[in-house]
Order: sequence, then C-alpha cells, then structure tokens
Amino acid sequence: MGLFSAINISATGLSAQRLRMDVIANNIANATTTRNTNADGPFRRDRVILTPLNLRTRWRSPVYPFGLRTGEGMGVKVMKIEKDMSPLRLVYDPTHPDAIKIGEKKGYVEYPNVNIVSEMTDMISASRSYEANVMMINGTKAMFNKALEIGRA
Amino acid sequence: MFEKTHFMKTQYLLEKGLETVMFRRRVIADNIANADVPHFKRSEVLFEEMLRRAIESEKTEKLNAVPTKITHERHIEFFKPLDYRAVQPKAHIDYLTTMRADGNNVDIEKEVALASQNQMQYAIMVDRLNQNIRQLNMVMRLA
Repeated sequence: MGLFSAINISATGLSAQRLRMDVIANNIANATTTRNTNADGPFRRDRVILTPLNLRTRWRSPVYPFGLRTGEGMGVKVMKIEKDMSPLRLVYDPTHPDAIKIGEKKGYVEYPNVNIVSEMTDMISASRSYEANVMMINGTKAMFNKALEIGRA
Repeated sequence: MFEKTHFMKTQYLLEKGLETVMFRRRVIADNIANADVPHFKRSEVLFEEMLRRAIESEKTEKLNAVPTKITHERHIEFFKPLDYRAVQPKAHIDYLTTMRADGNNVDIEKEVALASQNQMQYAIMVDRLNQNIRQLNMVMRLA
C-alpha cells in the first residue's frame, strides 16, 4: 500500500475491463468460425471470470459476521478466461466442408455459441465500467494535486 | 510546541481527516473496480460518527459527571471522556444487502456520488489546513 494505491486500485479495474473488451472483440470476430485451433469443432465463446484482489487476507471465525472480512480490498483480478460450453448453433448446410457427415445431425454445420446481442450489451457494460474507473483516477489525481498545495498558504 | 493549543487540535483533526478521506477513496475505488464481480460485497468506512462521539464526550461527560473522590492512584473515574486521538477509521463490509441477481451490491451511481463528495471534502480540508497554518503564522508575526 503506497502513496498512489487509490490510483493503482482503479488501474486494476481498467486492465480487467480492457481484457473483457478484448475477449468480447474476439468473440464477435469469431462469431461464424466453424473450426477452432485444435480442429475438433467450432469456436466456442470465451468469458472472463473476475475476482476481488485482497493482498492481506486473513482468516477469521466463520460463525462471526466479521469472519467475512478479508482485509482492505486492493482492486480486481482476472482469475481465468473460460470457454462457454453452452449448446452450439446448428445450421443446415450439407455442402459446407465442416458439415456433420454421420449420425442424426447429418448435413448440419455447428456454428459458435456466440450471441451477437449479448456480446454487444457486455461490450457496453465493459466500456461503462472502464469509464467509471477512469473518472475515479481523474478525481484521485485532482486530490493529489490539491495535497501539493498544503503549506503553500 | 503547541500541543495543548487549539492550533494543534485543529491540525491533528484535519490531518486525520485527510488520512480518512484518502482511505475512503481507496475503498470506493475498490468498490468501483469490483462492480462487475459476482458475489462481491461493497465496503464502507466509518470514522466521522465515532470522532464526533469522542469529541462530544469531552464536553457533555464533564458536565454530567458526579465528581469522583479519588484517594488512591489506581482509582478509576466514573466518567472518562473518550480520547479523540484513539479513534481510527474502520472499513466495514456491507454483507447483508443484495442489489442484483449475481449477489453483487455495488450501486455505481451511489459510489460515484460518494467519490465526488469525497473529493470535495478533501479540497475543503486542504483549504482549512492552509487557513490554520496562515493563522498560526499571523500570530507568530505578532510576537
């Protein structure tokens, strides 16, 4: 915890939201990709799992309400980027090179489970959160500038 | 040098206030950074209420006090005012409320309002601190 930790906390929020934005851009860019890098199926939607960052976690009694207290929060952290395993979209197109050859789904092509509308709303959410963190940094900067005036009376 | 004077009391309270405002700033920044995290619970800082109680106890408890007859050094007074220097800001987790379906209870509008209030409070305290120093300067020039 240094002098500028308020700015550092907001900066963790900025990088987490930026990563969310990158992942959403990747999802939208691959909305119709029928082969992934392992060539064992179509692209699957990625999602970002965020978790609070506490540098000074300490154990307290779980039966006591303050047992929830894990020390002063130090921002947010990206825990992992997870593949969304929800069902894929099937489109009937027998001439497509990735169409399913055998079984009851014969002739169907598996498209990614990316829903453009929900990606767009996630994108708006990420960019608004980014703006909120930027606002926080600007305000904190103004406060530090004000602190430089102490004693210059 | 001026420990017992009002100059130093004001100075102490303003410094403690600036420290608390910066601490609250960190807590608000953490709440805003975690606004998208499921099951995150917001924290808030309590300080001013405790400080007010400590400062008012100096005035009121002296008036209400039954005078204690102290005949031994280890006797304890009936009413002892709380020491305002011992008051420390504390962060509390608001674990009882839920605002969204994902269990998060950060209200971003409220946090932004608190942040700008916080910023103005800082500016006011810096102004008062400068004014305090200016007054002390003025008094010292008289001597």
